[in-house]
Amino acid sequence: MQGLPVFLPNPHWSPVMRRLTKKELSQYNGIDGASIYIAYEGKVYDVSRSFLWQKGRHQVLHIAGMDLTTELDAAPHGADLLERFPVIGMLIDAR
Amino acid sequence: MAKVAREMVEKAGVNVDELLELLVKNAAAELTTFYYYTILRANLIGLEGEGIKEIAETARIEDRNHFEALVPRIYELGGKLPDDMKVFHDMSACPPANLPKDPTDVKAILTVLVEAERCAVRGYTHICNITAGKDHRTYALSLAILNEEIEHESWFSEFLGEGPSGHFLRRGETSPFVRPFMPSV
Repeated sequence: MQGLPVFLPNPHWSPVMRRLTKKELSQYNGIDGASIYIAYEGKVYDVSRSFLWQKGRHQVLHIAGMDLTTELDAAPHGADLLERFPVIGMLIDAR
Repeated sequence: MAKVAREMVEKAGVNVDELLELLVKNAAAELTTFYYYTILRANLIGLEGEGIKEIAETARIEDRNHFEALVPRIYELGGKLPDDMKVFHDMSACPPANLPKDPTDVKAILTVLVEAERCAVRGYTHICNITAGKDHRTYALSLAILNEEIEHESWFSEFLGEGPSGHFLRRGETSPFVRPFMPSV
């Protein structure tokens, strides 16, 4: 085994990049234990582990399972915060 | 409840139930931060930690003051705090400011502190944005808290080597901005 490269798992890496429609995305809304996904500029992020997205809601006004590109532009933070979460797929019918 | 006060805010186009939820979540963030900062402050020891202890203490006391100042506005608008403290903790607008795994790592403690302050800055900016020109009293209160949260962020950010902030630590009383909103002062 000596000399073989060691591959460490990247926590943000997904073996399969999924392609989701808006309708499919809407199922990942955190309700009844569903995973919590949001889309931004065509990418779908899994924010299920975020304290700030508990039960699929963020700062009262934002709901998971949606394309939040417009909302994020008006938010008091940048898109850089999304880099903390894994991209699990692409939104195929984004604007 | 201050019936007419609530009515005026509603008439101005603010969803008062949503605003109340935000205020309660931020009040929870303030009180839980006060608790977690108590633990962080206790662990700020030694050559590195001792120099940060004083501003951590000021931020801790001011966060408690923010909680005190928010509560009357919540009840004025017809809201209330949850009966169960555990529910209150878990609905916080910001994640718990937990002690890092290595409590001797002062930089890790500073990172927790600055992240907590940044969450608060975003939260009160958000409340200011939705109340500006509509709910004058909540706006004034949120702006006062925001002023103090920005100073807290600046203090910790300087210690992390992010450059000068132009701010100085408190001299004299805490909460220069929020004090007028505190019921017990």
